[in-house]
Amino acid sequence: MAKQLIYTPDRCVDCKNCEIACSFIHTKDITKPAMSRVRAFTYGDIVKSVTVCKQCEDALCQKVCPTGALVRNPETGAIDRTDKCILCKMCTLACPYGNIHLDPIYDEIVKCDLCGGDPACAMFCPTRALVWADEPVPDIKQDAQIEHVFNEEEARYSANRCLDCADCSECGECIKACPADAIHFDMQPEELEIEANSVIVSTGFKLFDAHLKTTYGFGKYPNVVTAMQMDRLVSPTKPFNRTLRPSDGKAPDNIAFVLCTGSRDCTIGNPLCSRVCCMYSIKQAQLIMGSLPLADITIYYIDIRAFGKGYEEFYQQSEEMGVYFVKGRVAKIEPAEDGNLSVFYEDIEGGSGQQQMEHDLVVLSVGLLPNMDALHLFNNGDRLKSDAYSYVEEINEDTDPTRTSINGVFAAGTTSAARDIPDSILHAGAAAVQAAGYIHQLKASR
Amino acid sequence: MSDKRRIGVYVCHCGGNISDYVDVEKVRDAVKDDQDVVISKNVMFACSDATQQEMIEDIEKEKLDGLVVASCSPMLHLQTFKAVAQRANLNQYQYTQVNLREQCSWTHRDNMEKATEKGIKLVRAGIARTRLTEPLVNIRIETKPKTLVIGGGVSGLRAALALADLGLAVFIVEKEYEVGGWTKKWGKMFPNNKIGSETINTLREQIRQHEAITLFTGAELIKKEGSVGDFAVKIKLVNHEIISFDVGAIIVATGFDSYEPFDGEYGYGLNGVVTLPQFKEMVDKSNGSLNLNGSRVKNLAYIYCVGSRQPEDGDLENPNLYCSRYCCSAAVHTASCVADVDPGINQYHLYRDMRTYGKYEVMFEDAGNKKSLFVRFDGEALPEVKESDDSLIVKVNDMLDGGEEIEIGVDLVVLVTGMVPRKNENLTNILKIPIGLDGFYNEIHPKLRPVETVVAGIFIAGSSQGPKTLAESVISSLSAASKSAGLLMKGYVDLEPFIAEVNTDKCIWCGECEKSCPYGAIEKVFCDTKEVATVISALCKGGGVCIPDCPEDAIELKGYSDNQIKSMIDALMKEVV
Repeated sequence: MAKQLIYTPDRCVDCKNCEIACSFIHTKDITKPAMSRVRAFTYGDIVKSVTVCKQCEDALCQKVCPTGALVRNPETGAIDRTDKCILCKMCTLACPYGNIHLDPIYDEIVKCDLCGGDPACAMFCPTRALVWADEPVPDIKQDAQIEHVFNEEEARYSANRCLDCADCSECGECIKACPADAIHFDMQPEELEIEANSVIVSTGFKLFDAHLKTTYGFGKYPNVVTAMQMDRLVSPTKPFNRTLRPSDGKAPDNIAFVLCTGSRDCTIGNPLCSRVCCMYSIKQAQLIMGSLPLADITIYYIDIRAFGKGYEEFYQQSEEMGVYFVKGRVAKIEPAEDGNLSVFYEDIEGGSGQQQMEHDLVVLSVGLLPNMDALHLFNNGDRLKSDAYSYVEEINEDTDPTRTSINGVFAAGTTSAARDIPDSILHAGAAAVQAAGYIHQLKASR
Repeated sequence: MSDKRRIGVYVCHCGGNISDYVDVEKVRDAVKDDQDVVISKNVMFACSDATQQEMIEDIEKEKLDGLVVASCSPMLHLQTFKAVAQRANLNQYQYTQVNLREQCSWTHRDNMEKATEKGIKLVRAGIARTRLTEPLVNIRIETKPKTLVIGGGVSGLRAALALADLGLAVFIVEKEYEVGGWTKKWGKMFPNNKIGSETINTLREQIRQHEAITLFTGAELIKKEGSVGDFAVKIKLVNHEIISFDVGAIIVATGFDSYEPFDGEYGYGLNGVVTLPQFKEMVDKSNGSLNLNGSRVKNLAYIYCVGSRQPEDGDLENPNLYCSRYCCSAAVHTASCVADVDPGINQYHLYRDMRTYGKYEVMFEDAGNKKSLFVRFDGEALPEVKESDDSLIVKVNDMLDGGEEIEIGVDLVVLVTGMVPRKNENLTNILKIPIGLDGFYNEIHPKLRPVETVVAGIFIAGSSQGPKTLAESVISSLSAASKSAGLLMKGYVDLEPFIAEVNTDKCIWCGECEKSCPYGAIEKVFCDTKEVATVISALCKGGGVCIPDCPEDAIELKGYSDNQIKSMIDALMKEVV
């Protein structure tokens, strides 16, 4: 039997994650459940259902379509809407399940396309009520590997918090009702012209895109996440109020941090150290120990660079708390059983050569890269000079920091180098006094 | 006080942060009929613009003369709600913040009933305090547009220049006879190979040309009085003359000392064992080859983390637990300079973690390319240095090779020594600024207020705050200059009016209060027919030490009067029904 979307009502907690995932995947940039192809309904406590297109073999929608715009995709088995569609809406009337409809805002027919073969609604269902599989998943009570993050009461409470924004028809009543005039549907970008004597460029950094380190499998294996994602998973407002791994919602108990992902690595073109990753990884490790006290945490590192004020002490503290530190650069990450991952590394201190270790969640401590947009901010004649690594150059960083190649333009924070927060704040303070001094001198000389 | 007051009470949900653990509706209802309470409301987010506006309207409409907001810590929003009061023409000191979040809901998540009971008592205490508030006015001090910079190293000089560029007067006090500190002593410095002494010469020349800067060398600060915006300082000059002047702010840039190894630490004291600053001097002076006692150095070893990252449970009484930050980069840079002098020298680096952070990574790479060899040792198995015939032997377990013990014969051992805080007890006592666990001057907040100290108007710059490289010291000193300029260019500073006040009817002038005040804020004056104490408002910090020492109970602290505190205690003790 081919894979299909199977819904098990017993498991559903009506969290509407499926709707959110669907709309996000299809609109790419916004989470608007009204754009969802899948619909979660509840009628009190009695009826729960998620309706999703059945991709009928003998599909009525396809039959009534006058232009042949609905075509079955041989790869996914889905009936896809093509651009032959003339918006006659016949299909929406024909579907006996109400699974195809017109989006009034984007003015298009909205229909499930199985996301090209891996439906997002099933991927993000936390209880596996909706699965993309050959056969239904076993009874929830036999399902030992799922962490039951909510008991039934909590699950119902959470589900009821949903504001049903899927029902928004953009009627605009909220605009009238809001006393603070905080809702706008028609905001447009504005261009302002400001005359200034001096400019401080504080455009920050870009984060290394973990996809580029292909041997680490980010984007391929769901349980390989970046430290930014991990920050969300350990934050005080984390989803489900528990730290869970993405693939199956299990609470991880053996977590690895891979330092220097995208830093000190000529294979991806960045020889520099990013300065912040050691410390934020150690911080996250300590936070995880708070939320998952039984989890093992291993940090794979080249050098632990705890160089700031109080940092070494913080590092020592995490060692005392029981974080494992393994000196060795990770070469590759491969999938193991049950969504776990095999981390291949060289055991430098143990001297036993190539090793592999299984973890159930791997965090890539991604590094900092220059934000090269800063270099093109000034295009009338002058250009901001960059250093050898495409950061904005400080022309005399020893005694005249923040001063750039353009008179009156100063660089603050990570615009000119990777920096942590304390160093960025100090650097910004320096830029402020430099700019003020420049303006003062300018006015004095006039 | 029998006057009727009109107090508004706002109990915040904080979007669940409070209301999930404290029954905020119950708190609101419990106090709504309390004496003088006119309004008692729940709000979702007290700090939101809409709620602030609602409070302002309430204050104006109901003619409130007291405001209580039960929300988060005053650290977070005291200023916010003081501003609300001011915008509604209510005196800001008739506002009281009750900390219902950090000190109630977050601490008692397990017991909603008791947390609610405590919440009610806290709010009642807040109301009690508010009932006895009086409108107070800030003490405004005009700032003196001058800064005292203590220390004439690269940090002090650069901060002075930045301030002078803004048209502010600066006095630099340097205790040595020459400016420049450590930087002046060094040749090529990382990362740009600029010569330290030349850097100092350039800065000194710029300082000389600035009329706004006065430089005292061989001088030291011997006294400081006054407070932010208006300090009176006394300086002892090189000729022992003492001069006094006023400044609005003080920047402390006293730098660091290099760690001095104890006798026998990694063979220190043996011929051929030197510290990094000593070695740096050797390299700077060398020409064509590196010589020790007349013979050419062929092999040398660096031992890193000397005086830094010392174990907490070792033999040392006060170990330096911290990392000195600059030494890894300085050592690999020095190694590259050595290779430039004599490419034939074999250099072995015995390190723990190579902390060449950020762009300094490139210098590590460069040293490796110039044939430096790196050997990693564990913090628990330190290398040993012994003498053997006419050379030195370094024994180390190489962690990069499974911990195998190796011996390296060398002519010279460089101890890569870290930075330690300057011993400045006198200065620290004069300025009364705090020192951290590591012995360096402590900032208020490492991220948000990195150059400010708890003494308003005194800023810390450069390596007096913690180990830093040259460039980082300059950045920090400019940041301190920025804070100082911001303070002085505004022209005035408002101080809170929470100062002591003497009841002249009760005072019999016994002098006890004058003795107890650490700030010298009390003096004797004639009032009508008798001698009484009076408080110098610019000097009083509201410390309250004088109050219990007064045998006549003649002193009160404005804003925290005995009656206010007693009424708060009564409210806290009252049973919640």
